[in-house]
Amino acid sequence: MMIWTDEVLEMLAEDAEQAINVDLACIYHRFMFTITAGTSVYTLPDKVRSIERITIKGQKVWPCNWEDLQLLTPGTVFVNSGTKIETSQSRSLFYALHPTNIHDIRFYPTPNENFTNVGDPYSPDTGDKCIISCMRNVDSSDAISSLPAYIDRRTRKAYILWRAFFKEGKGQNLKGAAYYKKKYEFLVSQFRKINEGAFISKRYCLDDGELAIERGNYPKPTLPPNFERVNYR
Amino acid sequence: MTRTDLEHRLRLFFENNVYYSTDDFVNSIQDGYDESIAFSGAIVKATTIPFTAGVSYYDMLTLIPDYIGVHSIFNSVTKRWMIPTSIRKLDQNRNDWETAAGTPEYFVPINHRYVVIYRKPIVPAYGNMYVFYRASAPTLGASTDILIPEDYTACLEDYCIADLLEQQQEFTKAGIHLSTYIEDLEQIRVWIQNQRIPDFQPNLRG
Repeated sequence: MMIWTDEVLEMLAEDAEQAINVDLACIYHRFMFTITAGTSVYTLPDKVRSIERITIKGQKVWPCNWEDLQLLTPGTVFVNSGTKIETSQSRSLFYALHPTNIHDIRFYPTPNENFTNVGDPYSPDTGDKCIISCMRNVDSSDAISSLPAYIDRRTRKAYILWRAFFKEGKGQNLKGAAYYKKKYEFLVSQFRKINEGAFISKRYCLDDGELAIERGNYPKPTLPPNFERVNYR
Repeated sequence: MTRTDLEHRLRLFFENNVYYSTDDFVNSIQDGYDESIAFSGAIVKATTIPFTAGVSYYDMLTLIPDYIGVHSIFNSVTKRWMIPTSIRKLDQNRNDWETAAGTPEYFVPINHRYVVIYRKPIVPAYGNMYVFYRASAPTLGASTDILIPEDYTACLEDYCIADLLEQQQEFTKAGIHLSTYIEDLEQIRVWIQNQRIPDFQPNLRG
């Protein structure tokens, strides 16, 4: 006897993907971004969940917050593509989130060159490119943007069954819902550990930030494996 | 212990041992094996990956299908271990480090898929790196050895019991075995990663 209709299960499968997006920001993605000379504000694609790094012509563009950007650029404003005052145009050194849209970012100084989105972002060079590294949404239709096989199916299954047993009506079973909720949370926590702890030969430590293994004998307290990797909760 | 041995133990646990089919047991054991190996890191392998001219970011999961996470990397050209570091340190060193050409000496794991190297070779056929990595579980045959230490195979057994009971909506019983499985899995992970050399005493010096 069928408990849930295909429509319900498909809805829950979609919900599972959204829940995994929220609980596991782990799909690293890089893409070439189109830049137009004279425009400082751009809307990032919806798939971008958090920006990890931006480079222009191979040089890092440094992140800053909106308040600092206002102080840096007292004579510049962008309301929309028709209403804007773009002063100081050159190679961008900073970027910040922009209040016109949740996906908007603003470059400062305003880019003075056009960049296309053609090329391989994983083999960066000093050419005329803007490359954005980010954590993106899970996309099951693309193998590179999916969760790995050892976690994907079981995590989705646990979420779908948790919500299905929790649903009002035929088949409701709160004990079952609690069981699958626990299982889902366990799987998510374990996958976070894989992202944080798979790199077992690395010890994050407080030091001078130089690329040296050893510099004297001063104490270096060992920090948790997620130090410097704040995406994972 | 092989898959057949574990199936036999499971049949002994379930008093009516014809209630579940062989396929039920096989699927459950494979699922549990996949999960416990992925989460405990019980299998570490090494393989050879060629450096690719101009490439900074390596998609390890595509290059090594059973890849879970990097353990360490050896540059076979310079005959030196590559040094693990972080993106922030590379940024502090030079802000265009992604484009820097030269001898690969450092690497940074990005996530479960990508590893970035610094610096990158730009000559074709530069050479190889030997990658030591945590691997996912292989598909078990009937007589394939299960690569979990004998003392901890109860972990896999608990997974299977929970998995088979939940299929019959026996959630209270399944919940008990799931909790035991979770505790056992943590014990394996801690043993594998931290407790195999009690002789070694970590300290606060570099």
